[in-house]
Order: sequence, then structure tokens, then C-alpha cells
Amino acid sequence: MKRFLAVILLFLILPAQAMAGSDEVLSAVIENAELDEARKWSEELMPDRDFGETLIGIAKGELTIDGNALLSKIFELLFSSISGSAAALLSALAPIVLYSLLTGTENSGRLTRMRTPVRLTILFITSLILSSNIAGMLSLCYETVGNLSSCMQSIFPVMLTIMSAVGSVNSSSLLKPALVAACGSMTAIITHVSLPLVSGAAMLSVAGSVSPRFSLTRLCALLRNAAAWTLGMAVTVFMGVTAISGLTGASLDGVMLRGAKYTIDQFVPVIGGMLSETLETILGSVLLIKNGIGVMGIVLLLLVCIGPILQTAGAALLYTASAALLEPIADEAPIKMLDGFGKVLSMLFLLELGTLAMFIMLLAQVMASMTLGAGVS
Amino acid sequence: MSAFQVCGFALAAVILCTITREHSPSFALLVSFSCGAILFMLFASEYLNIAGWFSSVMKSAGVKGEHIALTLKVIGSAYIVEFAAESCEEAGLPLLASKVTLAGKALLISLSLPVIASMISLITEKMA
Repeated sequence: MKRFLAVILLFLILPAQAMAGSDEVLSAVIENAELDEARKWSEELMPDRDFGETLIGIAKGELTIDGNALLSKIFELLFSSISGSAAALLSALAPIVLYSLLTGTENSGRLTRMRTPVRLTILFITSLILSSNIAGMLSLCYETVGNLSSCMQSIFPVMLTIMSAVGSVNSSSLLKPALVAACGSMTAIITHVSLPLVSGAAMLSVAGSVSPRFSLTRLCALLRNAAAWTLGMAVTVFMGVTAISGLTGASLDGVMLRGAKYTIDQFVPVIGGMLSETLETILGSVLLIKNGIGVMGIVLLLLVCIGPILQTAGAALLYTASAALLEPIADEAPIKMLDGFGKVLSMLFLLELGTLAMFIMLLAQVMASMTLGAGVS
Repeated sequence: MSAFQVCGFALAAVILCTITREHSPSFALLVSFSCGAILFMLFASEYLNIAGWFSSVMKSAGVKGEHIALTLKVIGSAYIVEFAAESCEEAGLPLLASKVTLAGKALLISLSLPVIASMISLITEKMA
């Protein structure tokens, strides 16, 4: 922080107007900001790209994202994740198909006395395989939310530091609790309330499918809805509070910065006008970096969770589709279980997507909360 | 063995049973049993063919074989038990048939014990 302020002061003394916006200023700011954690994430997620160069590229608007390439990459990932979970699903469906083929339907069955025990045993085998798949997906979701949170923790404080270094003290002090809330409380709500509710729904869909007389469909739906409500309410409240506090902070900072610029302009004799212009240019380039870091943060967050999100979405699609395809040949119980698991997986997908959306909106808000137009001028 | 052969064999056994039943019911029962056993053996060889084919197809699709093997074992044992119980009932011994069924159920439970154990360990693992 101190080093960072020193660099900014140095640029104020130097004839910064000529330099500002050039690569040296940008790389000096990047070198002195505490970006080690973010650099680590970037090296892990984008091993073929240099962190500093990418950041400068983003800040100067030279690096753009190719939409077509991104879309085709996403589809490629989705299909590879679908084919990955297809093998796992097939091993669960094989017993159901075998049972249906070899023992016939309930009314025209070839087994009469041994039907129920065989049905239950097959159901047990199927539910074991499906449950271990779902358990894997659940731990993937826990891991993804944790990764998102720690990636956010590596990006967000740097942006706040830069903001307070260039005078947005109010915004950054108001947004600091938002960071704590996003990475602490919100993540805790998702991992300690929503995710356990979803895993409870998964367990109930196994238990509810065992006996036709003992239906737990509505209880399952209740748990899933409760998870959705917690997530929805938490995200809404959180976004509302941070938006309001960010806006207030930004206008306060705007007043302060305008005051500072006016003071320098009027009360420093001879060179006051030049100094106040320099101040604006320096602020501009530092803000460029702040927004560059923000964009980088969004890219890193996307990279952290795109794989797991697509994997969950692919699995949800596959489970629902196989429930629909097996309906004509199989008993009701495994279909109910597959259907329930499909819904649980879509809920997991929503949870991951909700967390990502919350973090991205927070970053975007920080990026928007102090621009030269609103802050100075 | 073709479908014609199976049907012809079964029809011959039926005719033989019907003719001999009036004179010697125990002989008719013997004929019925042995014919049933031979037909069941035919079914069993076909079942093994189907099972082998299914396992190899699943193996080529990258599915682990243990659960499929268990499924085939469970269904096969159920057929054997069902055959034995039906034979008992045909011989006029329903009590024995129900005992055979009971034994079959116990057998299925013991076959599915490893599955139940891994289910319990999965649940405790996730709970901890």
C-alpha cells in the first residue's frame, strides 16, 4: 500500500502527462499493486499467457474477446463433459435396462414370486451408482464455490487499494464490507444452507423412489425450492445493499476529487493548472488499471467455474433426457429417481451460476463506481 | 436350438404327461420335471450368451463390469429359485415352494450386501 502510494506520488512529480497511459506507467502500477495471488490464479488458469501483458492489453483495450471462438470452446467443453458423464450414467442405467429386458413388465412378468426382491436389489445397485455420481457433483459444486470465493479474494482487495490510493476512500471503505459479505457470508449461506438443502433433496429422491406407496416427491421439491429461495433472497439483498452503498460512496468521492482538483488549480501558483491536469491524467491511467484488473478478475472467475458449470449442466441435461427415454421400458421407481437427480443437478447448476453472477456484478459495480466522468472533471 | 425344436420338445412332453398321468401320476410328474429341467438348461445357456454379450458391449462403452455382473447374477438366481419353487408347487408342495422362495430372498439379500455396505459408507463419508 505504501509502495503503491509512493509510485503514484512519483508520477505526480515526474512530467507524467507525457507518460500517462503509456506502458511504463501501467506496468509500474501493476508491479507495485499486490497482485501475487491474482497472478497465481492466472498462471494456473491461463498458463500460456503472461499475467502483466494480458492485464496491460485489457487495460488499453487491445485484447478483445473473440465471441465465436469463445462460443465454440464452450460447446466443445459442454459436449466433452456430457460424454464424460454419459459413461457414468450408462453404468447406472445398464442394470435398469437389463432388469426390464429380462424380467418383463409388471403385468406380463416372467418372475412372479421373486419379482419384488429382484426389483429392490436392482434399484439398490442403480441408486448406489447414481448417488456416487451425485455426490461427486455435489463436492464439485462445493469446490467451485470455494474456488470462486478465493479467486475473488485475490482480485477485489487490489481494486479497493487502487481506489483508495487515487482518492475513492469512501467508495472503498463502503465496498470493503461488501467483499467480506460476498466472500464470507454469501459463500457461507450457499455452502452451509443451500448446498445441504440440495443434498438433502438428492437423498430424499433416492428414499422416495424405493416404494411406490411411500412418495417423497413434494418434500424433495420443498427442499429444492428452499435452496432456490435462500440463494435468490441472499443475492437480491446483497446486490441491493452493495449497489446503494457503492452509489453513495461514488458521489461522495466525486465531490472530494473535484475539490482537490480545484484547490490545486487555484491555490498552487504558476504551475497549479498543469498539476491539476497531471492529477487527472494519473488518475485516468490508474483507473484504467483498476478496470483492467476488474476485467481480468471477471475473466479469471469465468475460467474458474466454466468447466464445473458446464459439467453440471451437461449432467442435468443427460439425467433428464435419460429419464424421458427410459420411461416406456423401465419401472416407475428408477425413472423417478433419475428425474429427481436431474432436478437436483439443475439446482446445483443454478447455485454455481448464482454465485458467479453475484461476484461478477460486484466486480462490475466496483469498475463502474469510480470513473473519470463521475469522479473528477 | 431353434424355436421349433423347443416347441416340439415341449409338446411331446405335454402329450407324454397327459397319456401317462391316468396310469401313473408319479411318472407323469417325473416326465414334466425332466422336460422342465431340460428347457431351463436351454434357457440358461441362452441367458449366459445374452449376459456375455451385454457385459462385453458395456465394457467397450467404458462401464465398470462389477455392477453388471451383480445384476446378471441377481436376475439369474431369481430365475433358478423361481423354477424350483414352481416345480415344488406343481408337485403339490406349496409349503416347500414358499420355503424355496424364502431361501431365494435371503440369497438375494446376501448378494446385495456389498452394495448396501458401499451405500452406507458413501452416506457416512458425505455426512462426515
